[in-house]
Amino acid sequence: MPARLKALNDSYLKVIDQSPLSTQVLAPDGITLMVNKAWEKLWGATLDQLKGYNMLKDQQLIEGGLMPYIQKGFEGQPTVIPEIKYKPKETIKELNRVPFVWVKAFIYPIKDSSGKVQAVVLVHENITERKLIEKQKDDFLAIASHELKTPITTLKAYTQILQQILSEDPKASLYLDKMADQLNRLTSLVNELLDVSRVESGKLKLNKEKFLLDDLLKDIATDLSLISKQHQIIIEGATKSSVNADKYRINQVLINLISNAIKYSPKADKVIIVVKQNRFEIVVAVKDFGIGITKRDLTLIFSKFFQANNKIRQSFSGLGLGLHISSEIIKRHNGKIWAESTKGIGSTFYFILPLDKKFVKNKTINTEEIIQDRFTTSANG
Amino acid sequence: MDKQSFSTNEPKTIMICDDDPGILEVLRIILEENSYKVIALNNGKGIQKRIEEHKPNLIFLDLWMPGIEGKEVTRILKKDPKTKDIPIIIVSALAETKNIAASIGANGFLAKPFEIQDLLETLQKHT
Repeated sequence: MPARLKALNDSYLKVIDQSPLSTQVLAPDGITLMVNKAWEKLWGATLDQLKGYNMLKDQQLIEGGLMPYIQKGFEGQPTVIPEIKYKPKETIKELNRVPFVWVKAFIYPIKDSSGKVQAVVLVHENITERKLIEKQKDDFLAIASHELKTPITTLKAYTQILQQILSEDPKASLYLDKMADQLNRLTSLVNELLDVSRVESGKLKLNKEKFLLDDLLKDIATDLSLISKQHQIIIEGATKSSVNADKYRINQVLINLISNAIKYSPKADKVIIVVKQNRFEIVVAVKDFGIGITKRDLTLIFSKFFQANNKIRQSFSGLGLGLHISSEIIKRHNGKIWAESTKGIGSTFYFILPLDKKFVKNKTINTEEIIQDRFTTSANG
Repeated sequence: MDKQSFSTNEPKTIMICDDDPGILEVLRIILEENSYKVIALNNGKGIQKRIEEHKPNLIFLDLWMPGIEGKEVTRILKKDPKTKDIPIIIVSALAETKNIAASIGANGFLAKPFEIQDLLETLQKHT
């Protein structure tokens, strides 16, 4: 081993040794050649304790599903593993400085002039503290959301009791309705806050179950048409089988897209939802005949905190988090979500839910078909 | 033969269990307005004894309470042959806990904030 190291210049070794980032240099066969001081500090170990350790045979990494990425790194492709929770003592018994560490790992190859991998460098960034803070934040938000919803629940109940008692008084009824609306808005905001925090910290848990998308759509259409008496919600097409997804979250996505369609088409009288399915996936399209979205904005709408420009924002409220959360939900289902729009004419939001994980990338429904079938005529009619 | 069990005029008893006094109070108002008898508890401790005392026809249970958790309470009550047939409706501020409600054997779920209409329909359905 010392012979291999001789190939590396002595002064460069000092640069690595004193770097604040934990650095580990390995041979292409998985054996560790050297570690720096920061590595020793992070893992509470020395190079000696790695005798007999082969990273390419590390059980924890294999079971964590990370080996394909690590192998890519060893084959010569720089790779980043955004986060991994590692328990040192599960691999080497004596390493019990801490029960676990969260790290972000960078793997990059050192190649010779012919492109052959001579060595692999592994750099660890210790993100344990960040992960603990994230967990605290998420716990705090869950508690805050629960705490906020408690007085909202009581307020809403009294509002409804008063609505009953004062049902004969038109002014009182009207004002109580307005109070109820505001309370519903408040509830949505609290939910949005909690959701975006979950999405950000990757904690969005999906509870999948089999259900018929058609039934969900019918319920939402009924509920939302009560809110906007001006818009008729038309559903076209049907799914022949049940989809395996998180019903509550898909419900959120649909409500988000349909209520956006209503919100951004104040002068229109309908919103059309088209559902199509083949053996591999379901496509849902939500079309509105409203103000449309500029080309520039189309590239930004699914990002966090995006809310058109200020003029539009003043007329439409909300935290602007809905589409971001929706896009994360669809992505977590291994689906796709996108939009097409013409300013002044209207927009169509599409999302795909794969029915079987194997077929996500390869087979797609011809969305042209959907557009030709339904929308060119609807746009004129 | 117990005369009481044949009487249809006997008001039904609803047990409500929530750590927030504001919620307990408004629930009591709604239920008593609709001719239900109400037993209110602010936590799950000793619930079995209170059930034996009052024999509720249905229990509204909050999931998030200090001390003994709603989930634990549901499991215990559903295991005990004396209480397993009493319908338990989970009332919770976290809407996604609906799935948990089903998996622990609860008979229904009501998300906070709730519509009074939904509350009353749930009651009619299970009692």
